[in-house]
Amino acid sequence: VRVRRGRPPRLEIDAAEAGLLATLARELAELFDGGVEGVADETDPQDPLSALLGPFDSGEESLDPVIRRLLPDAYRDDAEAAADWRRLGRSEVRSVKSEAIRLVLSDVSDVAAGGAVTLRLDGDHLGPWLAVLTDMRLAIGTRLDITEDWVSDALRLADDDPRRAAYSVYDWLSVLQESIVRVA
Amino acid sequence: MTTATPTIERVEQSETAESTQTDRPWVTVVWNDPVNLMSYVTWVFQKILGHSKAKANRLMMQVHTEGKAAVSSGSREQMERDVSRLQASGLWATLQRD
Repeated sequence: VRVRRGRPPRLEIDAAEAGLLATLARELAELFDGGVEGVADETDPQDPLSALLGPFDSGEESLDPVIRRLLPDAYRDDAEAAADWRRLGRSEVRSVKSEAIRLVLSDVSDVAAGGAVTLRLDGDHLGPWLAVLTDMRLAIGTRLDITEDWVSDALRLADDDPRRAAYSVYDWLSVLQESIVRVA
Repeated sequence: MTTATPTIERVEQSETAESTQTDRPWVTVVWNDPVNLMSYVTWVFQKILGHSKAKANRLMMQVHTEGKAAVSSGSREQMERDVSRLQASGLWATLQRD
């Protein structure tokens, strides 16, 4: 990925990178659909990325720390107001997030089909892209129980530790997002 | 000499405008998390809340160093809208009585 300054900012992306983003975006979409509406979703054990983001618990107040971070309670000290929020406000947040995922998925699907392409992140694409990259990082970071000092945690992992792949994707997403914010 | 005067007047006016708004019983609070990028949080405060770059950066640093910051205030409905938009951007936002 290469991010180019300009109006709008441009993202040069190849088919493999687009494929990774599409996979992560689909995992995120499944997480939202199942996590809030209570439809349990099976993760594919053959897919390492699926293992990063799923599985999740269904139910009104999710026990899954990833769902709780992506769709947090809006009230901390008022159980009744928090429950009202989960019924009304939370679904609005979820629908905005789902819409953003669909937009990113549509952008990267075009690339995956046609090889390396330049994406123009103009006004109505920039915010959703940054939000979706954030949610991908939040999902992986929460699964890894990540800290601000995650680089030294990652360096201590054994060569065959399966979490190395997750840290590597997290790092790549972080650099991508930082690059886009810098030219936004 | 005269060139500095308009700036001073503007600052005084903006402080007066803020202090006269008494009906602000709710606040939106953003909490620190280990994932969100400092640059992105500043960008969101500018885009979503309409803060200046300086104010957005100051609030971001307050979240980072103190663990949380009140980033906007107003009616409960207005704060629920801010919380909704900040959460949609991936920030950990809640609202509470001021």
